[in-house]
Amino acid sequence: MEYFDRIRVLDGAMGTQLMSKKAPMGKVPEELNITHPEIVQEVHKEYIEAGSDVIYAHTFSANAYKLRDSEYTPEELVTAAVKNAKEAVGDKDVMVAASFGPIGDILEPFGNLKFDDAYDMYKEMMVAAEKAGADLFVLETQTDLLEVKAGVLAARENCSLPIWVTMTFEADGRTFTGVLAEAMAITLEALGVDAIGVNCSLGPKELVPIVKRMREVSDLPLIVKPNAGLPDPVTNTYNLKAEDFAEQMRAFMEMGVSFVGGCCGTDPEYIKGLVNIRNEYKPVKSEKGKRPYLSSARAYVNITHVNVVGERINPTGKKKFQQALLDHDLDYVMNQALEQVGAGATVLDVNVGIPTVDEKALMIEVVKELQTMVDTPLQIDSSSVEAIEAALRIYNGKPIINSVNADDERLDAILPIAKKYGAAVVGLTLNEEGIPQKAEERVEMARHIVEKCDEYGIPRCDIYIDCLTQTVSIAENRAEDTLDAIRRVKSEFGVKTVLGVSNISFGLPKREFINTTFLTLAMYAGLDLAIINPNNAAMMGAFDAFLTLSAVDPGGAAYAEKYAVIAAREKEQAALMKTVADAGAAAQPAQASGDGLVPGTILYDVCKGLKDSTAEDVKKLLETKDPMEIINGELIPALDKVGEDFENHRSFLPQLLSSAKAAEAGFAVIKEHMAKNNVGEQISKGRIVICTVKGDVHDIGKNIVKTILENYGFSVLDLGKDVAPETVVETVKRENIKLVGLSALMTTTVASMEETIRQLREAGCDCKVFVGGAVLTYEYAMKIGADYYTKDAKEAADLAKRFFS
Amino acid sequence: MTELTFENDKSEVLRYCGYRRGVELTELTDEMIRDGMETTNRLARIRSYWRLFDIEKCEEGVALKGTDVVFKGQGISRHLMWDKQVVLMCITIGPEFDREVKRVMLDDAARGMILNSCGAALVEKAIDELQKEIDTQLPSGHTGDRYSPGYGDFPIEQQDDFMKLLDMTRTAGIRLNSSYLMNPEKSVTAVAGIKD
Repeated sequence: MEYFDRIRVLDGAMGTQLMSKKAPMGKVPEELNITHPEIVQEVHKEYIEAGSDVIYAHTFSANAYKLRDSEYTPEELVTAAVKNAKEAVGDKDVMVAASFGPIGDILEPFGNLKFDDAYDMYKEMMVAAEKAGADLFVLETQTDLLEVKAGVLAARENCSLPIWVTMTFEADGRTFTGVLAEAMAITLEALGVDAIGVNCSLGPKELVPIVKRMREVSDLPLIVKPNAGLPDPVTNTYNLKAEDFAEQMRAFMEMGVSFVGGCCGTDPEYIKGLVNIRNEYKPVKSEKGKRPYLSSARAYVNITHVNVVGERINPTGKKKFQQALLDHDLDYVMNQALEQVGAGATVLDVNVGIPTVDEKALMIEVVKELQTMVDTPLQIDSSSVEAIEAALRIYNGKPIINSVNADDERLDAILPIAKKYGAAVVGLTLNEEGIPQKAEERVEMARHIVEKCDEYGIPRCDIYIDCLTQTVSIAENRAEDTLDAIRRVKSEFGVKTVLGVSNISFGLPKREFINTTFLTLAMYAGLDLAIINPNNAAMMGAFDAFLTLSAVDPGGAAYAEKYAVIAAREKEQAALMKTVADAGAAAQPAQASGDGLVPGTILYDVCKGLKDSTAEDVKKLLETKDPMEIINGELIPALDKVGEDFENHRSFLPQLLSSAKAAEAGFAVIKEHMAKNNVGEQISKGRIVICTVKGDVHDIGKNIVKTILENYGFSVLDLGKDVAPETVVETVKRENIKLVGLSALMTTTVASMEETIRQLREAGCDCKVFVGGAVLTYEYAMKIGADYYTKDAKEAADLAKRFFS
Repeated sequence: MTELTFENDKSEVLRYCGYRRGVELTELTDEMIRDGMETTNRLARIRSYWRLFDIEKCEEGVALKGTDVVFKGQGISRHLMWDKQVVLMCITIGPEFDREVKRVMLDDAARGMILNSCGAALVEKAIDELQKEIDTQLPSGHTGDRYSPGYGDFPIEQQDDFMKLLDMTRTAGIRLNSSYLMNPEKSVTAVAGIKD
């Protein structure tokens, strides 16, 4: 189809028209395609008479989820709908689009719909629509970009028709689920859809700024199909008349959009209004060209100057991280992510490769969770092609792949999937023979990578060449080779560059001096992505200083703001240390507070929920006391007092939790101390599996139980929420678990709690099960076969203590 | 109604965290509540929609005229016994708030729980405000007490009817999962009779 020869007019609302024709409303409106085809065709004909160039077949919600109670299949309804549209068209020059709205269930992790199921449902409809003779697909009224991606992949992998996507935005340029207009445009252009835009949402006037924002970041043809203004709740009608609607639509035609039409509240009169004026304008082909964008669904980065890629999500050489991955402790990983974003990373590298785990499954798990937690685009880092592709498939945005090198085998495996999923790619200047020493050799490697990318159609701005850092403590390595290569690949190939810097100082003392200086030199050479630990203040300092000196941060405004706060905090801390030191010198006995607790004691710290003080005071005690003595003589009694206060209604849940957290800080200090001093004593008191059962996504109660249990010294394997019974059984068996806690908030999900218990018994697991949740009672718990009922976190901890004693 | 912010009520927040009278708040808890209210006000994107319907009693419950929807159960029938019209309403404080609760929960369960309670208090307050606003726009009368799917014998499955009649995904960004849970989590649907 030609997109820029003239403005094409789409149709208006289907639902509004069906209602005005008094069509009977069945369970699903698409059933009319079979029960009353004449009414559907009549609506189409009216739009065609009004001058529509493209009509949307009545297929919007004919998906398997919405039709679950219908006597018709998606295939039957979609086929009938396309047939109705084509019969209405007859021999006129009008195209038929098959329209696909949201599936209706919510994608994981917020709902129960799996990405692959959404894909299958779109596929089922699309295959039927193509077979029935539709001319194109349009995914419309969408609010979740990941669901759109499922639809786009379903179309790409099973059909050959063009794909349009229009989403529904609010005035602030985000969909209801938070998808940013620019991020949508960037992601979908990278995925290779044919046209994008907006439908429904608001009236035309309100949508102008949003469509402008899409045009800013994308050259794709644009589609605008707004509502007839805003709805009136009393009459359920819209407030714009046909002529006002057309007047407001001129703004889009001036902007150069390719397709205009109407959504809720519009009828053939509105379409006539558009047909009458569209020849006064022509679509404008935007030719800004490809640009180095990276995006999530909620934010995007334009790599026009150096950015920080956080390197911390990587288990290599990190025992704790490895253990977290083995335990599927995603909270640990998420904390690492949030910390790096807080410290200034604008891209996060994600590597979960450890021996003995299924890297692909783990990568999917981590990426899914990360994209609900942080807005930062991700860099998918793996040696496994499978793991990379799996991550790209479910990644909600435009990521980077880390990495390819100059070997053809790797290039031919990775570049096609980079192209298919619209990802940028890191290219290492090495091959199976190793890293070449000289700058010009690395440039040659880069040349090979770039040529291969050209072949596969990956734009230059999406190529990030890594000229490789080598340890300078080995005499033949020269930092200048790396720096020179950076300058040359940028000027010769017009690509971007990326570099991990800290290897430079390996084997040298005071590595920070070397690292910061090398980073500065690399940035000066034109580095675009610096892979560093953003929690390192000196490295971030060098980065921030460079942005100021290179006038990316004009006048150092951002620098001043950030470091004024840091400087003030340092001053405050110094003052505090002095006060403490002075007080220590004066050695005054501490005064008890109003409730009889004495400041400076563990009991006071824990009862007041003061985690920093607890850690400090435990450190002090460790100078004179044995670790186990502190645990049994200070921390545990403090927790017991807190628990007692809670039971006797002298405290309430948030304070119990704060106290638990304070105690946790104390335990952490002791653990660290013991690890350092090689005290082999096991302080875990027992291992417990907990989760929220399948079908239930409420995990606040479960998280509270986890926190309390951990702080009483138990190791908790938290399987998360919406957990299948099979997963629980499998974990209990694999880890030889003796105590399992299940949580469910809803009456409807207690059934899956029962099922989980049944499966545990059936599998012959030698474990006890305790259950809790808002709708449960002791009787109910016994009825579904649980061993124990715990009404709150405190009871769960008491139970665990009894159980493991 | 698209924009609405207000002060959260500390006592309401405490109620949602299971506060017991007489418990002395620590300084830390106090700070968390202030912080939670501030965060909630900052992140809330309140969206709502409502529609007016004529009703008639029927054997199963209450039928909404001009639709094929019947609200089922004795509870709802009693609740709307004297009414000839009802307003269906939905409201949410939006998805950003849920994300923040999740993030905060990761590191600090107490702070997360308090924040979560702030959201619960806010959405209740928001729907009270919505009702006041609806009252100013009604041709006549005012709205009575609210009733929601899941109360008494009013089936939770009827969230589907609210979904359809209020077109909640389009109008307020509220979606249902297959267990009839709403997303964003801090969302409310309700029906209220029109009183003279």
